[in-house]
Amino acid sequence: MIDVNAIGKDLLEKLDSVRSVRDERSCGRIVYAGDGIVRIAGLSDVKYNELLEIRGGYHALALNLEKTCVGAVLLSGEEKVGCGDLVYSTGATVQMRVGEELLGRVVDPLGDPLDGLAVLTGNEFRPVEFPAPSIMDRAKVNKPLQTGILAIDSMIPIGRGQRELIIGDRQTGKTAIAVDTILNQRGQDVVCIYVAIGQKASSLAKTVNTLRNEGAMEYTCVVSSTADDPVPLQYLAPYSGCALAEYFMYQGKDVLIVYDDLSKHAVAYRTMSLLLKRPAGREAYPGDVFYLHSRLLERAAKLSPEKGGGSITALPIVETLAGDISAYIPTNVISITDGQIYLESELFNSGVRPAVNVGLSVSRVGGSAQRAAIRQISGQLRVNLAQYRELAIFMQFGSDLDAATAKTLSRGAKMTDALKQRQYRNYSVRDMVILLTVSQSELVDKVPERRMTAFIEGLPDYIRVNHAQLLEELDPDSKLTDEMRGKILAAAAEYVDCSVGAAESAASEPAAQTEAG
Amino acid sequence: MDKQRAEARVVLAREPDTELSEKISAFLSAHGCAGARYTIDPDILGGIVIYIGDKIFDGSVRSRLENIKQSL
Repeated sequence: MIDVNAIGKDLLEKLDSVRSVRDERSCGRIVYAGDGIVRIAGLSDVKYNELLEIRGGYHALALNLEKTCVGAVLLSGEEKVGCGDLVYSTGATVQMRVGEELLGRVVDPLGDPLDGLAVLTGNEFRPVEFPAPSIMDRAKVNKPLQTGILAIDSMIPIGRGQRELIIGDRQTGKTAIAVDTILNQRGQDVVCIYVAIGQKASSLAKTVNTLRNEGAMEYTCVVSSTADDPVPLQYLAPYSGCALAEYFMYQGKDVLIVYDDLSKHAVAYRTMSLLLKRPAGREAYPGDVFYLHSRLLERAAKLSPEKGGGSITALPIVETLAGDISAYIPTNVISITDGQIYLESELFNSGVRPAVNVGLSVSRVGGSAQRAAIRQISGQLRVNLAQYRELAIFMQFGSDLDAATAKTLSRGAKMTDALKQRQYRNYSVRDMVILLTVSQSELVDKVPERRMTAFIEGLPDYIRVNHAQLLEELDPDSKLTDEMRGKILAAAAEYVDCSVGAAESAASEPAAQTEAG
Repeated sequence: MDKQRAEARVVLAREPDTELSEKISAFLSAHGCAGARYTIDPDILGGIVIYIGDKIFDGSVRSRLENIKQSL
């Protein structure tokens, strides 16, 4: 039964809460409207970044304050507003809806749901633009954020509170790395926010479906602005996502936020700036395009214990053209972030996936947050791989190889194979310790090169089934003892024997291939 | 614009009676207006809208209804 009295009471309360309109407000009239931009005469005491209300319930954002008029971008009603329309100041900035109820939802940059599910009832809002935590409020990054991707967690470790750029050409698996990282946060007590900026609606739908099917939406919120959304909404999306992230961070929680991607964000801002007739700089971007991203990424932080100890880890994504990382936006974002994961189409096409270029990728702060065991065994990995690649290029045309060189090349190729990983196949930290130990040991000499990928993929499952005790004993937070290492290798040796046929393991290997060179 | 000498624009739904006129004059002089221009606009349904410079005092029935419509 519907309780008429209760509804009546609700309605009356709602009516009471409707703002009295008799108070004094500043107003103006639109004198120009076009391309999502309006110019307004009047509004003498409006402030920068203030939200404006246009008669009819539409909104705009004041961005250019001039002597005789105000330039604003329309957040809604692009086709509805016209010259002569009355515009009011609101005295407020743009606010994003926040709250626990946003988890599992797809929302627009103002926090309104787009997924057709239940209406959001929460009344908590946070300003979209908010100052970054001060120096004294921050703590050192000391806890790892596991991506579940072996190549990244071993050589380019990411800490909670870090900003790590994912950069690469189109179709190199940038989003895949971000999505895998979100999937790997299940049960890790990390809130994830995925911000889509100017993306194709079809790609976003695919990503949301993946997150939903893998059960990651429980702890994830998607802030969406697709390519057909008004440009100002695309511009606001990362700041809105960050406002939501801050809501959780200031409650002491760890948050992972993915900005996919900031090159489109810069393009959206360039569109707005050029239409607002601001002076254009390099590549026609406005002068403050660096500040556009630096103020956003500065809001990622690890808070001190006094402030609750929460964190925002940011994974901004930047798309390059033909591998050019010296373009304007890539260099800007590289210099802002604490490291970058550089993906290459050449590696991707030659089957090295994730296509991480280990030489150009770095993590400037994550190392101190790495788990002790992983740090210990992956210390030599980067150097070994670099040596292998150098040798592989050098030996590309050589036919006669001495035994030692052949062995180095074969080991390197197998190491590269071991770092290949299928999408949605994340490794746990213990799996990683085992895989890293085994793939750098002499044991791999017994595995033929073409069986290496299958061997690596099967090993964690074999250990889980047959050596559960070993996994329990393994402590990723302390250094690996020789005894433990021996146990791991013994277990792996068993798997070598049963997985690699006797005939195959006896056959001598052909000269090393130089696949990844 | 010099607000002290600004002329106000008063919009009403119908002709004001004497009592209302006095109230409006008192309000306008309190806000330092030199004079006022009256407009009758049935579109505002009722109430009163006063513009002084680029300030608006909107007490019309129409804007109240619009507000209610937006918040429900």
